[in-house]
Amino acid sequence: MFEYVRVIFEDQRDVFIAGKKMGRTNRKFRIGGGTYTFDLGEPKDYSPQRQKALVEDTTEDTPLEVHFAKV
Amino acid sequence: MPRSRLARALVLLALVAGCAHYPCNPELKKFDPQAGYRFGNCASRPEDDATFIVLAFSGGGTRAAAFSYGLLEKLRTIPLPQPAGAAPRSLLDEVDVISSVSGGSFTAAYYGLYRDRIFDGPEFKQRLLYHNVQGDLILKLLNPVNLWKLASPTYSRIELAAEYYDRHLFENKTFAAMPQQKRRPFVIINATDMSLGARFEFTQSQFDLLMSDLNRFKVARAVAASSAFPLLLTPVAVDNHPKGDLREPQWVADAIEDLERSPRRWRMAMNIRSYFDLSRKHIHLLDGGISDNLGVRGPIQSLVFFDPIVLEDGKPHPDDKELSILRLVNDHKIKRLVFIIADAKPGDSDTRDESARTPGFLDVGLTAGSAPIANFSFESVQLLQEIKTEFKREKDDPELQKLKMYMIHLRFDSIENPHIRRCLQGLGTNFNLPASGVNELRKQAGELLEKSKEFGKLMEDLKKEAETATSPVRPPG
Repeated sequence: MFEYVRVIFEDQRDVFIAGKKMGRTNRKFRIGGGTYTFDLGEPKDYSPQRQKALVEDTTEDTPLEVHFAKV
Repeated sequence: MPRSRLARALVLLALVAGCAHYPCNPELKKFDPQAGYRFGNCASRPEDDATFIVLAFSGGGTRAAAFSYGLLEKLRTIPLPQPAGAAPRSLLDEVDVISSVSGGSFTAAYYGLYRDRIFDGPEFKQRLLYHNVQGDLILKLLNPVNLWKLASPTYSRIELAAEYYDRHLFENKTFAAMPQQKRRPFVIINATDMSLGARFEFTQSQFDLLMSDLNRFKVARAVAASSAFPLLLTPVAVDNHPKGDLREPQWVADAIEDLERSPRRWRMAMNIRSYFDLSRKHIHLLDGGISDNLGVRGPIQSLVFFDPIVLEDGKPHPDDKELSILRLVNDHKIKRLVFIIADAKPGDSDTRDESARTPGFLDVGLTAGSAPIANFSFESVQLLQEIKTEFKREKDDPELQKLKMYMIHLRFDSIENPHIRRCLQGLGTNFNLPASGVNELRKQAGELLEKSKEFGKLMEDLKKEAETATSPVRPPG
């Protein structure tokens, strides 16, 4: 039922999916499988500005990791 | 009667019939994703989410209304285990969401509007549970003025029912009256969009898709839609207003790509996109039981998917007010997730197979309608069970915070006394039950809850936590 995602960023801040808050950086969270667009909201001090990723075939131990770099 | 007088009378009657129209749902003057009937506008205390309770009320006419009422009555009497010194609360005070369909929507809507008056006042019992509502509706239908109004193509039997519920139960209240309670539960009344076969919730986010103001929509009409039993009653029509510059939620474009990978999510996206189809000017709403006869699918969707219905207006809205159980779980706000389902499903026919006679047209028709609904309800319960198992299998991981999930399914099959079980399973799906039946339904809801092993585990868990916690200093209520 659930897939697992961890969004990696050097700061602790909110994660946004399609512009809505869901979870925190560097902390695994659960979500139903599918295609999602991730970003870190404001300030826009990260790259890329947003990322689309397909979340599937993950496990608790092997979550999908979505990386953002500080700019 | 002179011909001129007759002609005038006929013209007047024709005007009455021609003018009869369903009440149009008002257009939303200004889109505001923070305002209106949304979960986030039901205030709560920060600690309220730790034990998150969802009640689901099934369909089934007065049978369902009485059974769900009995559940509320029982929850009201059970003290919530709390640390010493904390202000007393009942389990009912702890309920966060009530999701309902059809007969269960009468109880849900009335409680949402009036809270304790449902127990302390006589009206709900006298005017619904113990009243021949069906008889009143038939009399209303046979009233010559109403019969003539029904000649209009835009005014149908369901409007008579809605007017009746409005006058006799819901006192002309609109959804604006609901959040004035300023506290949970958030009540979700569900109908079925006839063209999509999909759930239609009476929440502002769903009404945003119609560009309509739910605050000015009568609660009675929502309940009528939720309980618009096919063929006996007619669908409720609502207008789908143009959306102007508003666009579909951002996630829809992503989910549309997921037909093969996540068909459920794809379907949700397609349904939302359909409300932007300019040819869908009028949406016809039928009984919520057709798409979900238990009232659980909305909360399940909120638990598994993160796809809030927030239209795009070109401005950022990072803090939405939508119900997302998944977000609360991922934010580590929920420690205990409780689903209590008041399932008033009747029994199967126990006499049909005794005869070689070919079942009649009505019997076959009712079976064709009810069997898929019952099968889908069964699968919904299994789905919840699978989700519960998945949470149970998760390791104790500080990143995720292990969640305890309880699923308490109250159903007639669990009644131990065979006579009482058969009696309740044999109650018809209508709005006129014998008083003895209503009494037994109320009583059994409470007894089934008390006897439920899952409920016992929940109470044990709550007591253990209360014993080990220190009491926070907070004012009563």
